[in-house]
Amino acid sequence: VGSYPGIPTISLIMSALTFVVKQECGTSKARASDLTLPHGLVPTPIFMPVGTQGTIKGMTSQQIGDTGAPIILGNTYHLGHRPGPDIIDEMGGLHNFMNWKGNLLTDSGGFQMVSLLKFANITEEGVNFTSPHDGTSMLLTPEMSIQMQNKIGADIIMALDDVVSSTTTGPRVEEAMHRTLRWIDRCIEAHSKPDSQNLFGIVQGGLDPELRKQCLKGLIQRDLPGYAIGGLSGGESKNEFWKMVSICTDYLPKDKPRYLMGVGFPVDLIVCVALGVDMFDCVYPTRTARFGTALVANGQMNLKHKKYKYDFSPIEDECECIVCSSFTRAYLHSQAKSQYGGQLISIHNIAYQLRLMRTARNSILDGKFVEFVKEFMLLQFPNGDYPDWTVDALMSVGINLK
Amino acid sequence: FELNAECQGRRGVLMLNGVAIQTPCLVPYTEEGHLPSLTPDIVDQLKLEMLQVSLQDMWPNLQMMEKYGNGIKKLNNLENHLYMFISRDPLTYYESNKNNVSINTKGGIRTVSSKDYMQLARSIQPDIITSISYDISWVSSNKRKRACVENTLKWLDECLELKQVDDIIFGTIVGGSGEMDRYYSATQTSQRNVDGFMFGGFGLDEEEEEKYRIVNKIIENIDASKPRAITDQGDPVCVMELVSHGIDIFNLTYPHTMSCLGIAIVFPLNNFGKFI
Repeated sequence: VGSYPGIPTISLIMSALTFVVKQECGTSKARASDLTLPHGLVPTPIFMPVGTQGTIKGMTSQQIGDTGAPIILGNTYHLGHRPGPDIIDEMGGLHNFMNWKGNLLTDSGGFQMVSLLKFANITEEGVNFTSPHDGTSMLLTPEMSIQMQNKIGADIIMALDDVVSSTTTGPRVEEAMHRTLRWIDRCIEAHSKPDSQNLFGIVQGGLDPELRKQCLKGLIQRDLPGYAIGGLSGGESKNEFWKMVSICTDYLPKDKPRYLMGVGFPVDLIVCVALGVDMFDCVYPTRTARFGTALVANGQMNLKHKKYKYDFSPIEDECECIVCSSFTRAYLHSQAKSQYGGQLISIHNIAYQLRLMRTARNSILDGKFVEFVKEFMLLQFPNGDYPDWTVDALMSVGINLK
Repeated sequence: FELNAECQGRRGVLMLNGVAIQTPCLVPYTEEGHLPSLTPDIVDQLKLEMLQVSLQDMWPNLQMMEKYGNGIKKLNNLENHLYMFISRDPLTYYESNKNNVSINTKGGIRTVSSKDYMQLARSIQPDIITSISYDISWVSSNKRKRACVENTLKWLDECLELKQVDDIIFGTIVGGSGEMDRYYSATQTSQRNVDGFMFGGFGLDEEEEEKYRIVNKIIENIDASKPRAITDQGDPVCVMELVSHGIDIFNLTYPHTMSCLGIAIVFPLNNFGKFI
């Protein structure tokens, strides 16, 4: 139980999930597992599309379901403003509000406060924001975040953590790590629905291995249903990024889900699966779709490019999404600059990410994950010019690309 | 086209390429032949029958459509729908010069001949082609009204010359607010071998009273057995009024413009039961 023998792990909170590792890759740290949440089974590794304001931009709940996504994200910050937690509560929670029958994960609202609002001031109490426009102040405390998330009703909720940018150095990083641990206790205390909502803690500690380990130890002691790796996918170098991910997956308990926040480029996903991550979220597939870019096996396809003007093949032959079965690249080229084009490409991109994860999972179950990784990387970098960080990261778990 | 009831307004069944639709019928606004922001899986649930597709939208895609060769329905994955090709995009008004239809393209203003128009129609493969015309304001000079009428008739003849066996062509009747111009346009168009009529140049700056007066003028002078379409009307009240005057096919942007404003249209249709 846990990776710290001798440290008592008393179940302080209930869990509303089960997590069963079906198969481990014999070489790397990758594993294929079944995560069962209140709204259904989530086979991992899994990519979670981001539905910021109660919707994935350009897609209906029905369409999201049709892509097969078992779990999507909502942002507490945005939903907290509009329509607000009380209205969502009255509507019977976010599931009812957005007519979504699958699983939901909400973040704490902390990240947006820090990234969107330039005038945030973080104190022991919470994240304090003073609007530069009208001087009104807004405070987000761990209690408030959990209360909002309780009303929203997601299957997984995130603790409010003290997020620092990964490029920050100095004592602030350590301060944030310790505060995150103090806040997790306040989150646990405030959580009123542990029987239906799973509270995940978030590992902070910047790019300092020792701080990370301290944070890990503290969070694992709280025996939470699952854990997220936070404070990465910011401005840090990829070289430092993968090392922090790997330290976290080394120490996080094997029998609990691990969620790497904000990571979504296909190459990053596959490498981090190899490093032992189970769950990912990112706005990348939908955002890049709105710029006319489709995700494909060998990288990206910029459908705005004139070479697609008379190309009457689908984006990808092997893709089974409704866009690839009904539309041509030529058509998408003609629509790529419009909102409609963005919608269609979003549908494909989400389907692509889900298929990528499914393929990775199946390869783990079949005992062929190492081959899969090598094939995938070769498709992405046909000249063998793999980025150094991917070579190093994969080598660290026994996969030799060269 | 079969009429099966006529009182104030008329009810009919329009057979097009093996598909029967009931009139009066709605032809919603599209962007390049698809419903704005609605993917085919959603559109299929709406059970629409006929969609419009406009010259302005499709012109930039001519080469692609010709190379593609499978027409607008397959292009948009809306193969269960009929299409009506119109020369005017309802949401933009562009003041053409006297003797040409002009459209706005990326490369600037371009004139479109009836030959160009039919070439585009050929690549789109719609079920109904309305003959090419341009819009004029309802306060245009007599000269402009006259020029519009004469050009439209000339272009109708040119379209009919380029007609292939299976084409369904509606003659467009123009003339702005001029009763004599509309009379001339209607009677002359009626003499051609058209399959139906498009009441052109409506949904612009006409006044209520003159709209219905001119509609009546046209109806008096065309073959009653043929279907009548009208360019964009705004609100449902106007649509009801025009139904009672005898219009069969309505191009409509109202649902789209209301959606853009975040307004959901709510009709108390359940209450109408007691009148039937």
